[in-house]
Amino acid sequence: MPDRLPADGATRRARGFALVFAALMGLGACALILLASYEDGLDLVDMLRAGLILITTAWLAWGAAQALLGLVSQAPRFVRPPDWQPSTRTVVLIPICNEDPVATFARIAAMDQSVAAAGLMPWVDFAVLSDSRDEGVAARERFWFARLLTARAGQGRIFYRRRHSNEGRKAGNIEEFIRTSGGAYDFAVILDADSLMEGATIGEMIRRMEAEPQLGLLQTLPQIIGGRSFFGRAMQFSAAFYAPVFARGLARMQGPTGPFWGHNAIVRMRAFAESCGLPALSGAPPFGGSVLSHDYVEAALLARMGWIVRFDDDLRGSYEEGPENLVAFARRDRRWCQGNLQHSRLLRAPGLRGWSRFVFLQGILSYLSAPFWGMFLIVSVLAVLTPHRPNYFPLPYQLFPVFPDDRTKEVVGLAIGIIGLLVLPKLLIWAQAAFDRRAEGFGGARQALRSFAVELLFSALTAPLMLMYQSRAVLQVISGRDGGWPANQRGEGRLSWNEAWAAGGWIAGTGAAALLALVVFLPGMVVWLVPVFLPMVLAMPIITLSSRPLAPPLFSVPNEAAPTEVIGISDAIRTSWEATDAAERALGMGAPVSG
Amino acid sequence: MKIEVTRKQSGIDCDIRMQHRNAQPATAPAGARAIMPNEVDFAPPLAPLAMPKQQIEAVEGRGRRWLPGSGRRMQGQP
Repeated sequence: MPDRLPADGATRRARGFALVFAALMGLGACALILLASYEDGLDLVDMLRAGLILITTAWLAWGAAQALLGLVSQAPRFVRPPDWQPSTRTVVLIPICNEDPVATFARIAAMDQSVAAAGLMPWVDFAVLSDSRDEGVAARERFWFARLLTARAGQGRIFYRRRHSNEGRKAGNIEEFIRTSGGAYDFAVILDADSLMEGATIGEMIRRMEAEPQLGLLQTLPQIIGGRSFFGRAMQFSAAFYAPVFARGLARMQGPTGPFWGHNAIVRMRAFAESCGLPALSGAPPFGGSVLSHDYVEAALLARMGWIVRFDDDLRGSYEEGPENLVAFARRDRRWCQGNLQHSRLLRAPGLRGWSRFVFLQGILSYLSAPFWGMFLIVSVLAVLTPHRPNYFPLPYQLFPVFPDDRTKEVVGLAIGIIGLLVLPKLLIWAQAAFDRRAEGFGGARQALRSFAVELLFSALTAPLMLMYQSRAVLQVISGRDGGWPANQRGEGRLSWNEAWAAGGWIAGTGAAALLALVVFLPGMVVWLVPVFLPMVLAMPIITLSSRPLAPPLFSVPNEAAPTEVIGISDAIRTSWEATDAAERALGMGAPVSG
Repeated sequence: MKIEVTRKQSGIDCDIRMQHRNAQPATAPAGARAIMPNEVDFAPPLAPLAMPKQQIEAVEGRGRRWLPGSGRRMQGQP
């Protein structure tokens, strides 16, 4: 076990800046609310409203601070010796559970080819770790694995095994591999079924692990690829354009106590084995049982044992796929919500570093902030409805509320401040991208600005929907409802109006009822709350239309104009295999049919 | 620490592997379609590594004791 590593000075300064910035913004918002309410006496509703705005604004400011840190930071520089060769053995782990084997194994074939091209084949193996419970899917996995082996001459270095029980889910799957075969390798690159990585990136990760013996885990920032729908492409653009800057800021704050996002990372096998054996939590789900969001916990446990967990934002060539529609996104978010709220059980885990506990707290707050915003809106309406309150909207068609002694400016200032925290970081990121020519990969500065504007509008439309989904998820978890851990929905994901009704009808109904109540009882508040309730009323068209295909140039990203080698190879192999599969099925031959 | 293990190399040495460096995306030969092997054939090398379960829950009541006479618990008592 290595010595414990304290945070360095730069990390402390970054954390200090973010904390002070978030605290100042939160306290400022709180003060503005209290000032606006002070004239006619503060009551419990005012105090509650002030408390809620303090937490929610501080949370927004925390995100903005990450972006600001990212904007002023430089990516770390690493020099790779030209004649470097690994002196260690690495296995690339691909845990799968009821996935499409053609797509998954095509990606593995592409990565294997890329690894070979990087001259790393003698030192890198692949292992597919199947947790599939569907026998039909398992039969297809075996068939396509045999095809992968033949295509890549991979026997003895590309492996496949299927567990008889999927105890512990993905964490248990990897743990089982380590217990059985971990001694054969120094490092493991952990991927998801939809992950893709350049061989050169894998090589550079191995080199950095070899160069820093205290490094227990190295995380990359995966770029989203393969987005076809409006929603998928908007996420892809967001991940490519904003995420690197936010992530760099995060890396500056995390320092040696970095994140693990469960995939597209490399771990030191011995460190992971000695630190990350996860027991089931006492009690029943959703708060007990298997640790769902195991990655955060594993990062905290590595740091507890003194290993460095680092996020290197300069590493490119790391990819994953994203949800193609809002419903798939919300379904994944429901799992993450339960996983993050479950971390409340671990806040007092023995020996954890303070920052690790704080990361758990951040994860919890990221989901609690949705119901907090909802409660703030409700309490604000209640404050206006309170009988002893003065009439803030004396005129029938009035935009701004009128407060005694003119407190309007405080409320307007608060609204502008909150919108600024949401918009300004993204605008600054665009400005920097236009200035340093990064925007050229996104179709040029003008096209990037168009994508920025549409993404901003789309975010504003979907935010109330996500507020409702997240609030429901939090209430479900708190009330003890286990959402399980269903597999990700991958693929095209185009939704029908019926599917949109099933997923968003309750949101549309709630929004319509709230808007109607406002029109009847508080017509002066309608203008202020229409940005929240109108998107809710329009939930179904937003869900359906955003799941439809969208062609470039809107939301163009660099990987579309010039796909990197591994993306091109993966697409070519997949297309070839799918064509072969279809032809063989037509002849009554080929892979078994699942289901 | 270097760990010595027995690996299933299946006769493919590194030189042969390197010949595939520039291999193009391949369509599997027709022979592959008949293969429906047992998954055990594909198992990774056997090289066990211990992975002890970690203590991740706070131990309730550790270091605490009832404060005599008060009927309430006090934190931090040995």
